[in-house]
Amino acid sequence: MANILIVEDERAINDLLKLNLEMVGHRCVTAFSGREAIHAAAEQGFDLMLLDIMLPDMEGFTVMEKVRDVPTIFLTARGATTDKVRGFGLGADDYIVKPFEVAELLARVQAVLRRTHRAEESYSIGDLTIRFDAHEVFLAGERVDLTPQEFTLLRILIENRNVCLSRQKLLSEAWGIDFLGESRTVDVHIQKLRRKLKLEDHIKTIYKTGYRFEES
Amino acid sequence: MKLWQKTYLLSTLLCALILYGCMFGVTVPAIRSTVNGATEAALREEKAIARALERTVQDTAAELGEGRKRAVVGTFLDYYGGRDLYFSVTEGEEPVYVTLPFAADYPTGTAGFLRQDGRLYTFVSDRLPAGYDLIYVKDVEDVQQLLRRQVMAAALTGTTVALLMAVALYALLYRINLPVSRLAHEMRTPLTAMRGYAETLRDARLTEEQRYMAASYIAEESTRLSDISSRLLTLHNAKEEATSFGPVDVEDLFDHIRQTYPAVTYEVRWPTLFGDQAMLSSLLNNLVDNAVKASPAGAAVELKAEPNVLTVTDHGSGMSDEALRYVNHPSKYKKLHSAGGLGVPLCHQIAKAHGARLAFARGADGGTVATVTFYNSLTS
Repeated sequence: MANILIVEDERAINDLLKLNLEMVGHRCVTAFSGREAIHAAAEQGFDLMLLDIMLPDMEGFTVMEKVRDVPTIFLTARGATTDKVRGFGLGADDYIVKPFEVAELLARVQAVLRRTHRAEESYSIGDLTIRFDAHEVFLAGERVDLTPQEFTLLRILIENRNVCLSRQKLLSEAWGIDFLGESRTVDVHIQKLRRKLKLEDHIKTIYKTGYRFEES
Repeated sequence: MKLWQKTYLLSTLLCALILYGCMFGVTVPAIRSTVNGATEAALREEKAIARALERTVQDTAAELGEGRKRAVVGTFLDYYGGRDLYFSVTEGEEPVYVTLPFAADYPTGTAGFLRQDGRLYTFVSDRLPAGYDLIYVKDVEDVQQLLRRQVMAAALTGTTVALLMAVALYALLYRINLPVSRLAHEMRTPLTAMRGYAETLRDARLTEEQRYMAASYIAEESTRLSDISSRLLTLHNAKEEATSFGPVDVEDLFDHIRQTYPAVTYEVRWPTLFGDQAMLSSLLNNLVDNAVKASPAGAAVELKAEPNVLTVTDHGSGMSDEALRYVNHPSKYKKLHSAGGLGVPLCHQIAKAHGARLAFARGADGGTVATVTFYNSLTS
């Protein structure tokens, strides 16, 4: 669970980001202008900042220069290469161009959190405890052996909890984008996870779409 | 590079190529005919001189005798010869009169061109009935130079004209394409929101409340999209001048706006004006929308129609100097300014289509006054 600062002046998009990030278990603070963002960042530390470039009072670049040591993903309608170069030059961790796909946004947020070692280290639900850093899973205190592929799949499901992931999305996220296998592979691995970890109630099949990890 | 810029560059390049092709097609025959003309003139001149020389020699030979013939030829050709004209007269192998600037091979009975020491000469070599070999050489370098200068001048003029046309065309295309790109940019926000909420509704486990929020945002943002679309249409009409001008009832116009913005109060002392109802409505809507946004909640926005002048006054916090500069001359700014957004350039365009001018100023109480002044109104 990460602490995320959302800086976006459009209320609709600000709410959209907040809704989805909170859905997968992050804590969010929202800011609608550059000044608000700088103020919020001065009051508390954040694990990540989602930053719009076109803000009413200043450019996102300016906010980034003033807010130090917070991993940043730029969020903007501008796709110009010069902007990307400028953003990365200032030390941005990623760059997302509007309109974006929510699932992709969540994946990129996770990627940045993992890369900057701010992702959650462990996760517990019921009898189950998962230690992401050590790649270990315990069920009622007993260590359960998972293959690396199963572990990755579990991690992605949990990182995107409450959000449905299509088989295609799971394939590209857990097996790598170039994998051209049958989407049955996903089903088989999901079955194994459910059986080994007694997650039948939590990993839900969404009809015709994919799977969703639900906490309750 | 943007698509229209690419298209522009390609068509301009093609245009320039065709222009130069045509110029080349005209210039080359012109040069050729000038050169031919020079040769023919040389031939004619040589024939005339040869005839005159022959006659003079015949006339004088009888009187003066063979011995004086050479002197007569010399005197005669001295008279014709000048700065750029040279002769050689030989009888068999024996020179009679030679002023040639250089020695070369002139086959008898031919005419042509020679290049010597960087200068161009035309020559005619002829055998006279009297038994003389006459070689006529004329320096035509000056003619050649003049021709070259003319071609250069034509090419330079062509380039300048083409360049000026290209710049003018670019400026025009830039103006036409700018607002559209801004609108396209503005469409991204509602598109992002709609897509995002639709995906969230599809994939996420939402509470009833969240579901309602997502659906409301989709509805709201689609309204915004349709608003942008109608602005695009108005912009198109303003650009194409596809307007339907007629008498517009000002009271009606204001009433319409009050339905959307209840905080508006209005005063009409100019009952009818001449213009396009839809465009004027869009203009006032934009101005009032900006005014309402700038005003504290509940504060009045005043609409006033005096002869040839419409004003929209708000009592808000007012604009900064920078923002005022932008809203008065939005076309001077490349970037979209937060003040007024896209609406302001559109308002200026609508005003212009009506022969009116839109100006923003700071009001007495610090708010903003937008004034539309009609300069060539047809109603009285």
